[in-house]
Amino acid sequence: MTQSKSSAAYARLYLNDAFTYGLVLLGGLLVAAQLRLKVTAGAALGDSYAAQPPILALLVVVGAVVSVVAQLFLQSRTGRWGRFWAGVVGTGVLAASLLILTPEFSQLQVAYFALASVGIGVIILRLTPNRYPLSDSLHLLWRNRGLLALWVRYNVVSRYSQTFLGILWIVMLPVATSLILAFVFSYIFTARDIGDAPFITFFLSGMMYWTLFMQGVTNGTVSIVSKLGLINQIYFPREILVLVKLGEALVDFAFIFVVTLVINALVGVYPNFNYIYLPVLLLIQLVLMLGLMMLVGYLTVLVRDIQQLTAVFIQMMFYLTPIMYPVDILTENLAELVMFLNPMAALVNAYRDVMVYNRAPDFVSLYFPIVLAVVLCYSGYMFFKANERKLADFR
Amino acid sequence: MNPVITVENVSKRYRFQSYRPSLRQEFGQMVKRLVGKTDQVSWEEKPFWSLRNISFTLNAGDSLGIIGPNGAGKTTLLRLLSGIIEPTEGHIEVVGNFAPLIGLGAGFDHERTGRENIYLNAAIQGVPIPQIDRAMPDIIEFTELGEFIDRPVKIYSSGMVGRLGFAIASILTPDIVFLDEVFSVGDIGFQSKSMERILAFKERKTTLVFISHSLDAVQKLCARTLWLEHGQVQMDGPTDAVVAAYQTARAVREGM
Repeated sequence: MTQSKSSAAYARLYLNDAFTYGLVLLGGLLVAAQLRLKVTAGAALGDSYAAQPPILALLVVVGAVVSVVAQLFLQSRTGRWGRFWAGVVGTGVLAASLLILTPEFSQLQVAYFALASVGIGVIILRLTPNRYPLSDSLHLLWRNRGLLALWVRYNVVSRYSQTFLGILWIVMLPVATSLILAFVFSYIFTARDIGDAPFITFFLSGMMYWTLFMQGVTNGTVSIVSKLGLINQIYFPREILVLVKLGEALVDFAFIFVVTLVINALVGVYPNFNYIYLPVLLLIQLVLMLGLMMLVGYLTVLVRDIQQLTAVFIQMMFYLTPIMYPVDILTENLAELVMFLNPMAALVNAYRDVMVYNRAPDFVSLYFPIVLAVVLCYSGYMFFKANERKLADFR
Repeated sequence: MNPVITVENVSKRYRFQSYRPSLRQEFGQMVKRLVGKTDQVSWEEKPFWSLRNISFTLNAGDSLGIIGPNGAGKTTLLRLLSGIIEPTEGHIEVVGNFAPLIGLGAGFDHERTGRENIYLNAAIQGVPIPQIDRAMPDIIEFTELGEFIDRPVKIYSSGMVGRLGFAIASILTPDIVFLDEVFSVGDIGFQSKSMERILAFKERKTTLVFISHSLDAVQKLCARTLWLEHGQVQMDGPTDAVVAAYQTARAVREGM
């Protein structure tokens, strides 16, 4: 419940703010790196890219600390805008030290960095009206992990225990769709240039992750609305409702993954050593999904139309994601735009690098999805927690 | 001793109509705002104060009864205390674990069995799963449901649902309990069992906040009583005095 503001609570709040500033600055750096390199689809890590030196990580930490100190002095400017100016100070200090300490960064890139940082900072500040310690929320969530596991299990079991084919339905739908599309594209349309890989492998390597994304976000829109009755009667951390939907989607995904491995083996493609990258890629995708799901889940309660809008939006995103086609068939400018606007495009490309072409994913092309995922998830969660007690008023 | 519940000048305003805009209405309002026509009747102009300027404090082990006619704001107050909604104005502080027993049997998933619902409801109230496992035989015995425990809740009678809801309370060991109309379900035998459980809470020095239309139960359980009328405190004091005044007022109103 409401807790009294002890010095420990204040310390946690400032730790929280330091984390926020660090996130903003790091995000700015990654976006700046990607903008300078103009990395397009699937390009392997080139010589032009030197690994970010550890000094950058140090600078980000220093910038975050400077921001918090600045915030202490700017406290009289009240809440939100005090945080904004504190962030600007931190960004400025970091930009200046970048110019002096790391000559490999051009001035233009430092300018990119500052712009991106301010942009990300404004987004985070807009979405987090109240300061609310993240550690408290996470602690409460951890205490309720039993409920989460229970809920996911019951939902998965009850969804499939009443149908004749049971758990098979989880895999039947995407696999059937894939087979039909694979047939259509292999025999009816002329084959795209996808290398030596069989089309079904090429297609499934994108489709399975897209199914996870689509299922999670689509169900995320109704996660809160469908439980408003319960929300009205008892308090529990509301994000559990969103996490339950994510958990269900993950369970389905696990089955589809196994079936995909079997299908791949049948056409002669076997798991390779680069599969060790898959958990990292999946983590990025899950963080992205969680941020989106919390936002659409909350907003659907306010405006019910969000549910339909999301469905249309996802349909559109499907065609902007290189699932049925390799990204190379797009013109260079279009490919760049698609990869930049659609975080799933870069992710699908990375999955495909691993599962079809047996090579390490291009992490530079993933900078933008990573920043987007973390910013969305963090600010989405803060927004969610700051407003969750208003949910019961929207019956 | 520090109070466990502090309520300071708390008010709760509800929107007069259920405000659930669609995009169409939103766009309409946005256009009106852009054009500068601000004569729209917004909910701001028709506030409905469900609670107004409520203040009280409770120490550990206190028991507070809340009485008043329907619509006086009793349940709203309990929902504020249990953190489901936040006050429009004022400040609420609750220190310690609390278990809300609001609208018993509410929050059940009617497609699931009684056993699954016990797990879900207890877990929602923050009970660790192993503890639920251990308490399961005790709960099932308390509900008197027998083999119905593994049938879906949708085939239960309302009395059975109520018993199931109350049984879950038996494994909770909270510092504070919020009770709302817990005696409206079950037969006489079950009601006396429920009363025993609540008295057991009292013996453990659990703080009680108790809403009821049953004045007898309030007199039995609570030393202090708050009488709400139209969202405001009509009277706050020792139970006997408040209940007597409430009964007099009701008799006068019904006599007219």
